[in-house]
This record gives sequence, structure tokens and C-alpha cells, in this order.
Amino acid sequence: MQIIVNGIIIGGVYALIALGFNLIYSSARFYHLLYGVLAILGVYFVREMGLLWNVNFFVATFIAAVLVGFLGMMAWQFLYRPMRNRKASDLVMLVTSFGAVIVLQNLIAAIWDNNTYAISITDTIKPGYQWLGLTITFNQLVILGASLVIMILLELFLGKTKWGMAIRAIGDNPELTTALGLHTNRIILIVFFIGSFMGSLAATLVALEIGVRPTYGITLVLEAIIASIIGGIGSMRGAMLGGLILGIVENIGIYYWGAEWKEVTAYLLLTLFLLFRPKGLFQKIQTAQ
Amino acid sequence: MFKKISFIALAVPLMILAACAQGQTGGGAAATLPDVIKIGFISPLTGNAAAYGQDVKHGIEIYVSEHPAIAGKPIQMIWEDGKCNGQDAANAAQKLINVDKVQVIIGGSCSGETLAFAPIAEANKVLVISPLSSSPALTTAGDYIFRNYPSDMKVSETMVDYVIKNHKKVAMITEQTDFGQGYRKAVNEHLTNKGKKDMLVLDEAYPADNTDFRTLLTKVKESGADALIAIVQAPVTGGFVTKQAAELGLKVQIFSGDALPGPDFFSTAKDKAEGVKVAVVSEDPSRKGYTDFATKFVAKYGKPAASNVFPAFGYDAATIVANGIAAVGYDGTALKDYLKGMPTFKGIASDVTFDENGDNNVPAFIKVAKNGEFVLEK
Amino acid sequence: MDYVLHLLILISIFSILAISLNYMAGFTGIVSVHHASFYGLGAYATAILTSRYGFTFLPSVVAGVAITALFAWLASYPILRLRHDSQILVSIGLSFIVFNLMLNWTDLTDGPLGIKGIHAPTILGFSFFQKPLFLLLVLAALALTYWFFRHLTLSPYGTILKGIRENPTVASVNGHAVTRYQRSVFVMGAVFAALAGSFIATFLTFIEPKLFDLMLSVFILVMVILGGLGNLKGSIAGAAIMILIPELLRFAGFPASIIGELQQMTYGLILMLLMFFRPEGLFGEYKI
Repeated sequence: MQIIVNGIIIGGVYALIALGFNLIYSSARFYHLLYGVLAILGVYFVREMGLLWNVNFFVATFIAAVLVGFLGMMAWQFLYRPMRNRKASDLVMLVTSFGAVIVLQNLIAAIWDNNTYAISITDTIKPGYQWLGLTITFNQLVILGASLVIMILLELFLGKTKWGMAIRAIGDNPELTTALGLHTNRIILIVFFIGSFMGSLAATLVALEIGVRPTYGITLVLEAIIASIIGGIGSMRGAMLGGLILGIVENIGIYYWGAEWKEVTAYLLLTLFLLFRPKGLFQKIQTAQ
Repeated sequence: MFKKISFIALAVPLMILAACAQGQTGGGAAATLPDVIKIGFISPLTGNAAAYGQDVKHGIEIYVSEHPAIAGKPIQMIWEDGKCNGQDAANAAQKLINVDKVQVIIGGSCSGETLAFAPIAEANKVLVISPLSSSPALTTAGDYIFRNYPSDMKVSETMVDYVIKNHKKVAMITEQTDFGQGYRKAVNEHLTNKGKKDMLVLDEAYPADNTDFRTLLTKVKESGADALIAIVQAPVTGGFVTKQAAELGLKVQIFSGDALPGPDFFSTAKDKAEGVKVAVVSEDPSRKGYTDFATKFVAKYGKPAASNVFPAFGYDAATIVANGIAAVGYDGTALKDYLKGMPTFKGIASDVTFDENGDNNVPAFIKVAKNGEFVLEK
Repeated sequence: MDYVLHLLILISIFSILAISLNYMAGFTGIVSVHHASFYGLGAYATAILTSRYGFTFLPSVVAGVAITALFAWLASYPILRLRHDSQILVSIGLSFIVFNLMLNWTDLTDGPLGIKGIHAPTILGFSFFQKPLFLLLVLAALALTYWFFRHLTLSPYGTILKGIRENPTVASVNGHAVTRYQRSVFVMGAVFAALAGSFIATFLTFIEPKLFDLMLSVFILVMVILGGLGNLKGSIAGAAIMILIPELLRFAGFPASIIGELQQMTYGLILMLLMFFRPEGLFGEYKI
């Protein structure tokens, strides 16, 4: 049973990461691979602020997330948008994104080293809360709680506010949206900001549990993609559920087959879904599949 | 079209072949010494393991600064970066042997490096002495391969004996690296040989650089073990294991190898680091020449080494090589025979006598974490 | 001199890889980031069979090729069923799965410890240990690869493949079993990758799983895109450029601690620049 709990906890992490990713996908309509690397860059910022100026953890997390939000906007404005304007195919966008990931990941490694860094809020380690024989720590509760809150806020934002509806409109039909006079580009910039902001928050929370290293950029975004595919790309609820399922299945895999097969479990799950249920569980977006 | 390509494809290498035929020379078998004595060096000078490699390099540098020549001929160290990976180390060895024409290589530090280039050196009759590689696989790597640092077989035996004496059931988790898996094999062998294999209730590997151990530790909890051997590749990983074990309320005595001690371990595991035990090859300040060496290190490099073990073993390796060259000349085969038959050499890190496999037996000790550092357990 | 030979051998081996990927990707539109897996399968096959079971070089190559072909044939089923972005994801997944197999199936591969002491190729008792001879052998293989694919491109079979690339619907309407053609291409690409793998194993004399990871597949892909999809000579040019760049960086005087990262950053930049300015590569005829 503890396994399921562990799965839910790490699943909450995946869900949080996937939410930001899905938000961006729902309006930009391509896999923004840079998302993961930008998110972990936020963690490095938090760490630096703590080391250099002793900034309080929560303040640093917020500032870092804002910075990353801006970087995300710049990625759209200076990297993706020019390519879109040249009518680049989705594949070219993906490969460009991948190239950018390699550059940024190595830049991070060159500046900060390939080691894993741990970050923490408190100075001591507290044992987790015991409940019915299961253990869960404070950090983990925070992560789960944050995922739920953010998901609800996001759903409300997208469903009930004017901005939210505009964002969804762009996702469904970019040309019509522009024709109707909405400032498409401005909206996409906002989406990139919010999505990247969330990504950085998520990565920082995650780092409390598992630390950070340059390669996590790719790892996190790939997990986000897998979670999104399972849940249904473009759907917030899908991302949440997909993340939880991924976390649980991975941990079950670790328990029965051994920790070394964790990645294989994740990718086999991905392949199964892509083959047999490509729209995921929540089938929200009518993608041009 | 095809004809033109095939012509070029044949002509170019034939020309290269001819050019190279001129440049082939055999190994430098000279009873007299060459004008410059070239000694090759391969260790990680960059990357995650650079701390080890650089420290070993410093140890050798100190030796060469004290003894810059052998019988009047200057020593020239050729430093190559093995980057702690087999391919780079193999390339470095190829260069040292074929381009620089060395007869002896000090290195590698990571076992992956040494294992990778050992066959190359063996085939070319070049002497290799490693000051830091601990993989048991090196024992059978070849006649020309020696090391003054002990094999993990020896170090792990100290740990296993201790665990057998003080605990009832032990679980083991090891990192998917050459160090981790080599250690795992060694522990299994020792337990079997001592008839205590049934003490091992869990034996699993985890992916390299993994930092989420919760489910694995849950399995450890369920196994009922009272001791946990966690062979990690980096201090921070050890920190995560300790931290997450504490969070899970897991009550086990944690043991690890010499890759665990480090500042990152303490900063990650914080107060829970207390009491973690490691089996390490340790410096012995009472050895002759040791304190002088430590002082010289600080004088030359401004601060003490992360652990004096690494430069000390490097220093000893350099001393042994220099003594050998002075005695039998600059030739890989002669050196090999010299090292084989060498009477016990009293180095600053340890005594050195090579057994029939080129291994040296150095005892290991159990250290325990106390107040932010590891101290010998009395 | 030796250094030059070393580089030429690497360029030749990677040219075989680039040509085989080019053929697979350029003529069928499958963007593969798992080519290093087939390369690795061939390498491990040769390494294990020659050092543990006493096979000589050529039989081990044949065995490696056969195993890889079978594996590719099986893998083609999920991959060919999917569209572009999903295809890439499964390709990434395949790359990770094979990598993990190499890493964790320790009884067979010794996992992270790798396989060491691989002997140089011996054909009919003649050893190709000396570098110049080894280069000759690889060049022969490269010539074979080039000739094979060139011949195939110009044949009626190749024309059908080009038709499938341009417009699968028309091709199938004309009675061609599109998937079967694509599957055969997929397998052929894998076969030559395995051949290259056998060479790298005997060249390095030591192989480990890290040599065959996702980044290497990306490296090969960059070579292919750089040279130009669909152009075989371009692949050789692409291979040469990508191998020589890290060597040039070595002399540029950067601090050694970040050389590795700089090399990788260069690959990423090349990729981005290509996508921006010339997605068809230096000599290519086909834009992705």
C-alpha cells in the first residue's frame, strides 16, 4: 500500500509538471521541449539566491518562477514565433526545440556542474507522518496540495475568465481567433509566461524531494509528455490523472521488477497508450492526428 | 561514379599505409635510459570525478618536484584526461602508447578507465600502475597491470565482517555503475564464502544518479533487515538515501563505501547523517613521511586535499615507478618483472607488496559519521 | 599520423551510420532518434560473441546483423503505425528501452562494467589490428554501404520509396503495400547500423552502454540533417564535419572542464541553425 502512496506522491509531481506543459500545448500546439530545462533553471536560481544572498526559500521560489516565466516568453517570441512565421512544419519546430534543449542543458552543466544538488526548506529532517501504517512527509503533502490547488485554479481560469476562453479559442482555431480581433500573440505570450512560471514552481517543489541536475530537464519534460498522453493531451484533468497513473505504475514496476527498470516501465506504458488509446483517457482535444 | 569512389577509397589508405610504415618503431626496449623519461598519466581531470583525479595528480607532482630526474635524466609527466569513462581513457592510452611511446602509465583512477585501457597496455607490453582503481575485475586484467590501492574485494570484506559480527539481516542496494556492481559482486562472494549468504534479505540495483529511493526503501523495510549496505557513487546520493530512510521511519544501520564521505552527504542528510558507517581505506598519520607529505601538499596547493588518501597513493605509485626505472631501466617488461619481485616497499600511504595478480593488500577501516565528519570507529 | 588514422576510421564508421539513417529517414520520413540502439546491438553482438564465445569477426557480424534485423522488424510494428510526433516519442522510448537492456541485463552484458578486451578483426587468419589495415577494412565496408544504397535508390524499388515519401496515399492507390516497403527500409537501415557497431566494438576494444544512448542517436541525426536528407554523399560530409568539430574545439583553448559541454552545445546550435536557415541540409533534396 505504501507503494501506491509513493506512486501518488511522485505522481503528484508529474501532474504538476504536466499541467504547465499542457497549458502551453493547448494554445501553441506543439511539444515545447524547452519547458523542462527552463523549469529546472528555476531551481538553480532558487539555489543560487539561497547561497549568495540567503533569500528565504518561498520568496526565492517565487522570484525564480517569475524569471523563468519571462524566459519562457522569450522562447516563444524569439525562437518559436519566427519559425511559425516561416511556416515551419511541426517536426522542424520539435527538432529546433530539441536543439535548444541541448544547448541550454549543457550551458547549465557548464555553469553549475553535472552533480545532483539538493535543496531544502528546513535544517533538520523530520520523519514522516504515520497514518494507518503509511508514511507521508510534510513536503509531500505540500506537493500534493499544491498540485490540486493549481489544477483547480487553472480550470477556473480557463473556464470562467475572458482570458481563459481566449486561450482555449486560440488552441482550437488560431486563424479565426485572429480574424475576430483578439491579439493572438499577446495571449500566447501570457500562456508561455504562466506555463513556464508553473513549471518552475513545480520543479522547485520536486527538487525538495529528489534534487536537481542538468539532465532532469529532459527527464521532466518527457515524463510530462507521457503523463499528458495518458491523460489526454491538452486536458488539465487529464494531465493530473495521467501524472498520478504514471507515478503509480512506475512504483509498482519498481516494487515487482526492480528499480533499474523504472524507465522501461514508463516508456512501455507510453507506447501502449500511443498505440491503443492515443487520445488518452480524457480525449479533450481534437488534435490533427 | 562508383569506380572513382572505389579508387579513392583504395588509394588513400594505401598511401597512408606507406607513410605509416616509415614511422613504425617497436617498444622502447632500452637497458640504458632515454634522454627524457616519459611517464604517462590517465585520470579524470574534468567532470564529476575530477576531484579524485586532480588530487592524485597533485600527489605525483609533489614526488616529481622532489625527484625531478632519474640518474640524471629528467622525468616528463604526460597528463591525460580520462574523464572517468572507458572510451576517453582508451583513447588517451592509445595516444600515450602510440604517439608518446611511453613504457609506463600511472592510472586510471576510475576503475572504468583502467579496465578500458588495460588490454591495450597489456598488448603493447606497457606497465600500468593504478593508484586508485578498486574494481575486483582488475585483479585478472593482465600481467602488466598493477595497483597499490586495494581491490574492493579487500575493502568490502572489512565491511562484511563487521556486519556479520554486529547484525542479523542485511539488505543491499547498489548503484548501476562499475563501482557499485563490482562491490555488489564482492559482497555476495564474501557472504557466500563465510557461509552467511542467508543473511542477505534484499539485493537490488538502482539506476545511476537516482535520487528517489522511497519504494526501494519500503522494500528494505519489509525485508526486516537491521543493516543496509548502500553503495552509492556520489555523496549526495548517499545523503538522499539517508534522508529518505529517516523520513520513512526506517530503522537500520546504514553502511557505505568510500564514495559516500563528502560535504554534500552532510548537507543533504543533515542531522540524520550521524551514525552512518563507511568502510574506507584510510590515511595513517603515524606512517613515516606522511605528515611531511600533508604539510607539503598544503604548502604547494594552498589547502589540504579532500582526503590525503588519494594524493598519497599517487605519490607512492610515482615512487615505485621511479625506483623501478632506476633499477632496471626504461622498459615495460623489465619493470613488470621488477614490480612482481619487489620486496615490501614502505610508502607513505601503505606498505606495498604485489601479489601474483599485481594487487596490493591494504587493510580498510570502519569509520562513523560524527558531528559532520567521519572518524575511525574505536 | 596515428591520430589522423584514428579520425579517419571514426569518420568512416559514422559515415556508415549516417548513410543508413539517411536512407531510413530521408526516404521514408521516419525521424528516428534510436539509431544508436541498432548500432549498439551490433556492437554488443560482436563484442560478446568474439570475446566470450570465440567467434571470429565475420560470423559475429552476421550474427549481429541478424539479431538487429529481427529486433528492428519487431520494433517497426509500433513505430510505423504512428504519425510524426508520436513516432518520435516511441523512438525515444525505444532508445531508452534498449539502453536499459544493455545496462541491466548484466548476465549478458555485464551492465555498466561494459565489455573489455575485444580483439581486432581477424578474417581468414589475417589480423586487422594495425590501424592502416583497419581503416582499409572499414573503408571497404563503407564503399559497400554506399554502393548498396545508391544502387537501391536508382532502382525501381527506390523510385517507389520516393513515391511513398512524397505521397503515401497515391502510392498505395497504385497498388504498393506501403507499410511493407517502409518496414523493409527500416530493417535495412538497422542492418547497416549494426555493421557499423561491429566495427566500433573492435576499434575501441571496450564498449559500455553509455556509448549508445539517446544523445548519440541525436548526434547521428544531426549528421544526416546537416549533410542533407536523401543525399548519400552529404551523409559522409555530415559525418566528417561532426567528428572534426570536437577535435577543433580541443585546440581552441577552452578550459578543459567545459570542453564536453561546449561540444554538445555546438551540436545543439548546429541543429538549431539548420532548422532555421536550411532544413534541407548542405546537399539535401528533401525538407522535413
